[in-house]
Amino acid sequence: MKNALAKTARTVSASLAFSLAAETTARQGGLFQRLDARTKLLSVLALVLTANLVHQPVVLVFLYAAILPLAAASRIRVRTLARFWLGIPLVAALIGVPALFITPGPTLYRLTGGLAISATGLRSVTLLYLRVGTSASSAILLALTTRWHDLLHALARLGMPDVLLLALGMTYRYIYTLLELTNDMLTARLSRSVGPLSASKQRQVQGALAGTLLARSLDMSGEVYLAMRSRGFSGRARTLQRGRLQWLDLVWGVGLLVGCTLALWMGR
Amino acid sequence: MDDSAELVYELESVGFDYPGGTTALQEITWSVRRGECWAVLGANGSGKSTLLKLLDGLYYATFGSLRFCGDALSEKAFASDDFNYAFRRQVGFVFQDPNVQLFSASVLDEVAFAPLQLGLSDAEVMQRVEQAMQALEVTKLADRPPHHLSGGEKKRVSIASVLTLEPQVWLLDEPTAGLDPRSQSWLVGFIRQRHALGETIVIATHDLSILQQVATDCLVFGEDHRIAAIGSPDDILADHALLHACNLMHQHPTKALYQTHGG
Repeated sequence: MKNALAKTARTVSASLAFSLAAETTARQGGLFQRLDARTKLLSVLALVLTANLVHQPVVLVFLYAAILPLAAASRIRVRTLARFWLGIPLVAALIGVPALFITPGPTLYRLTGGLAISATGLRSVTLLYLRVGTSASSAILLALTTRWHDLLHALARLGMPDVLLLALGMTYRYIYTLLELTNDMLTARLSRSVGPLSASKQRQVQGALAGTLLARSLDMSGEVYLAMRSRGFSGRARTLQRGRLQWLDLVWGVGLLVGCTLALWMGR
Repeated sequence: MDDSAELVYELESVGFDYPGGTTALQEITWSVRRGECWAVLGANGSGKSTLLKLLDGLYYATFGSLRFCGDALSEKAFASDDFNYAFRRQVGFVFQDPNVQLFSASVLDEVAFAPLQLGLSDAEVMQRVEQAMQALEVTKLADRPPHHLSGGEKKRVSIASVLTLEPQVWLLDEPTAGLDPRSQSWLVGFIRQRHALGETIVIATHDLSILQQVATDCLVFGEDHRIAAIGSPDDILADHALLHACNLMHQHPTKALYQTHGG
């Protein structure tokens, strides 16, 4: 709790910096950036489905590893991807650790205290790690190489209702406005802090900031609604439809389909 | 003032109370004719922004009557889609805080929002969007998310998002607030250009420095939320007693303080 306010300020700044970095990555001329957002969205869905239907760890290792060259071809920095490629499945695997001991099956290794790792348990945890790793990494690949509004347009072209798209777009838009506001409030508070604040005082400040943020966001939501009404919004939203499929989308789509079918056949 | 020009707004003893009873406007009797450029002056909290929201049909008068081109601006009138769309096509409102106005995921979506909601065809929407973005010199920002824009860029995009309506009446709330001198100068030029095209403009501001450059008429609000004066920019700026009384001008206390403390 010693530096909770400073830590919150750093986390907020890091989130804003990540948003800028993601926007920059999405503008690079890499493989995934050249694909239409619809192609990418369907590709990620296909990869997630395949990863969850494959039962052979070797095939899953191949799918999991394939994310790395795809990321490299999309000019994503290894350090950026590694946080997700290794971090997220590791957390999932840790959650799955009890399965090592409680899943019935042939004993692989016996520990002290009567605990034993079963081969079936180890296989389950490995499958969990690889499935989560492949699914999360491919979703991150989509997020880092696609601008949010392109993704929304892709969802529109795939049939998502306009009102839902508008709500999603506004959620994304105002997360950053509120993060900036939080950052400003934290910086202003920290700049007026002389010496360390006690844990209870920091909790008090955090509570006050949360309350102010809630009040400001409520005020802003009212004003945003007025701004929408002022420009003709009457509850029935209509959004732009754009994006065009190109030959690269076709080549990629066919390649991915063949790859996924092969993986499903080999990993059944 | 051309008294033969068509009346755009007619306000007769208009008053407005916020829910909870806070009074924002009292006894406002005023009219705006086609092609006029009004500056609504007043200190913070005097009711300028509330008046603009009433003129844009976002709030409805608690007392009195408010008419736009002869039609009452009431909740009942806006319940009709025909009236709502016809009104929205004619009146554009630029909010003070661009963060409120820029709610879409990209600049292009933002600029396209109004014509899309008004039911224009895709081709007409794109034509208006391209024209507005070129006029406001924001074409290169088309794919940028609004939260990555500077203050000046946000203001330009806000105006572009209203320009696509091709409004005949512009309502601008504190348009120069938070802008650097170059952006302010550009904005003054933009307002003059729209006025020269015969469009009607109402600007809420407490920035006296732009008054003579943009306005043909002034309405001054007192801190009691009533009209304190109506006149030309020259007359209003010359009336220092009025500007002091309405908290639009104030004498710097430094000298007096030094004298008091023997400095």
